[in-house]
Amino acid sequence: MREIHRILVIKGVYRMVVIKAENVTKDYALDGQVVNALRGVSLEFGSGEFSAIAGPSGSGKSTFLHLAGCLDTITGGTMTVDGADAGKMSKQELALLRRNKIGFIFQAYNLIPVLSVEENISFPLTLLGINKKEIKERTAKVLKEVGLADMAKRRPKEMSGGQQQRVAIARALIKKPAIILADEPTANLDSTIGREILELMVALNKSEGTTFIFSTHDTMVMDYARRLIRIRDGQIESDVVK
Amino acid sequence: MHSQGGTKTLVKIAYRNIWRNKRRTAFCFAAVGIAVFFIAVYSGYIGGMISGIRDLVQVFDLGHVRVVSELYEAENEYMPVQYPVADGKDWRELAESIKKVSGVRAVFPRIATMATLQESTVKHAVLWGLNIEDEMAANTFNLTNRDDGLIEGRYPAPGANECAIGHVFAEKAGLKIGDRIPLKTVSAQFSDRMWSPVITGIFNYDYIRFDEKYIIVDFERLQRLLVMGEGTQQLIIFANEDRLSAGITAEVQNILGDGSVVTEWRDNYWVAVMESVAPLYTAMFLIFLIVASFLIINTVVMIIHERIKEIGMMGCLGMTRREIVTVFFFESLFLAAFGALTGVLIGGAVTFLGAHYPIRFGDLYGDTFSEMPMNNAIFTEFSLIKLFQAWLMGVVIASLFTLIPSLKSAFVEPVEALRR
Ligand SMILES: Nc1ncnc2c1ncn2[C@@H]1O[C@H](COP(=O)(O)OP(=O)(O)OP(=O)(O)O)[C@@H](O)[C@H]1O
Ligand SMILES: [Mg+2]
Repeated sequence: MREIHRILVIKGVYRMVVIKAENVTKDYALDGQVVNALRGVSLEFGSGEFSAIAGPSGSGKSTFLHLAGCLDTITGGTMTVDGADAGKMSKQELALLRRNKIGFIFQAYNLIPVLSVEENISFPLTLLGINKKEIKERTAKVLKEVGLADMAKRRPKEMSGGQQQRVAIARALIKKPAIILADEPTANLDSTIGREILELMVALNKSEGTTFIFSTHDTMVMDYARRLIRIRDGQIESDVVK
Repeated sequence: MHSQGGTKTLVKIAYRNIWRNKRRTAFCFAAVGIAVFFIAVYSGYIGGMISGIRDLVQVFDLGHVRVVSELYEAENEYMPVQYPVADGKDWRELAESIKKVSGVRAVFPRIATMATLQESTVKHAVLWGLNIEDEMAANTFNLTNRDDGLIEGRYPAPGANECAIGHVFAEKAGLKIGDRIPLKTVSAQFSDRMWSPVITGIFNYDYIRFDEKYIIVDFERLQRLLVMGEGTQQLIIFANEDRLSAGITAEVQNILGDGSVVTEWRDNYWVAVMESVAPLYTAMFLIFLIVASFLIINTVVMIIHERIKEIGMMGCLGMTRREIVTVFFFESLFLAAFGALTGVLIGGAVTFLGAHYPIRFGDLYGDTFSEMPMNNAIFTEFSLIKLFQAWLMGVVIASLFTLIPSLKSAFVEPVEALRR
């Protein structure tokens, strides 16, 4: 099943290909009408990249992230995620691929409200069946990395939006995923807090080598990206590495 | 892929989830709780009634096994004395051979016959001849207080012209200890017999049929009065345990042959009726629970709707359908289990009280039910097994019914859920 990892050279840096979209299309049926959300998108993302997908509302940013994250099935083309052909996998296999390889961060944080900060963060590892001791160590480490070491016992609703988003980042980060997909991670936050979150992501990208792809239509957020992909009407408009 | 730790966390999430909307949870607890409460109390009450009837039938009517002659059985409503067991053979010999049957604890002779009272406002009574001392030692005649029921005086002495009457009888007829009761009865040879025994005791069995109509006399004295030789009208056999009665019945029938009718306590009409309606009660309980389950079903449907984004997020985290259903199923299981526990605790307390402080049924309804062998006081049955069964029934039915809406959560597509 698994193809040999391709190597990508970007600005003189060799990177393993984590996501490879080839001529991907996605159609939705809406009230009998077909919406072409993506019309032939081809993109490659290498490990350790820090990329942003920008575009106006309805341009297909979320759609692309969902497909790259194996949350949905493509209509046409091929989508290879960490060497596996996502188009050929069952729902169960896709779920397990997400569990192992992919971290998500959402605009609305989407934490489990009945779990404490540390329980939320360690949950992905629990699902992976990792032993308690290791879970404890890794949770403590990640909590420190996102600057929430003193809030471990709090519940999400006792925290600010920025703090909740840090928890979400920690939860995505803890399983050392091949890639973290962030759909407008700062859209709910004011600009100062938004900057803090982005700086945290940049720092983690540097220190841990975590691959990030995030979507946005905020120019401030775009400035942080080292690769900026513009999308419009389901098609790539430009793809620039800074 | 599935680990113990993972499931534990899912159950933890489910448990905490039930407290997210306390009022809704309280309603679910109440629905299942009330249903289970009724089941616990009702089955305790039915159980108490059945065991009450069983006790009465055993003590007053059949023992565990009763022997009469075929001819007696044919006319039993007239309480004939001319058809003794085994054609009037000495009852002691019969008893000796019956006592050899394994499981037999005691064998007593009894005679019951009608009497007409001569100088009384109460015109009719039943003369009941017992080996009083032996019978009192072997059984409790007042099943409410668990004693011999004597409230005044003493029981008649062997062979004496003495009798004991019920307190209701005494009151109605204006009789007291020391008074005589002039009465007339018919002997085994169809001759009129006059007798006027002295009242030496007044009893209260809390059983209206006996308290208002029965005159207890010594067995041998009555046997002589009725010219029955050494014979007896009935032989009452007591077994060591209820469940031995069927075997004893068969063996005794074998010993005595065709001329005798051997009846087991279980064959009593009322006992049979009570036992045959048991499935009906179970069906009724099931309906209670199914109705209560609808509230949980509705709650689960609402919960899934409300938490659709959360379900989507669970999908993003890579939880499988099975794991997501597990969370919702356990949540409804907790609702059912705690609700049922509340019901069973309160129901258990009620049946516990009822097992010590009986309902005075007779006081409420008078002798409306005098046809039925029913003690004036009904104790509920307090049984941990039955309470556990009521709880289990609640949990199993409610969770079976809520499995269906829980499954719905598996079909939530993460992408769809996230778009909400
Ligand atoms: N499930 C769906 N059913 C029908 N149409 C859909 C569905 N999901 C997305 N679309 C359509 O596909 C197009 C792309 O949507 P998408 O959510 O990817 O846009 P977006 O770039 O993320 O926009 P926004 O910035 O508003 O989040 C839109 O026209 C949208 O209406
Ligand atoms: Mg979007």
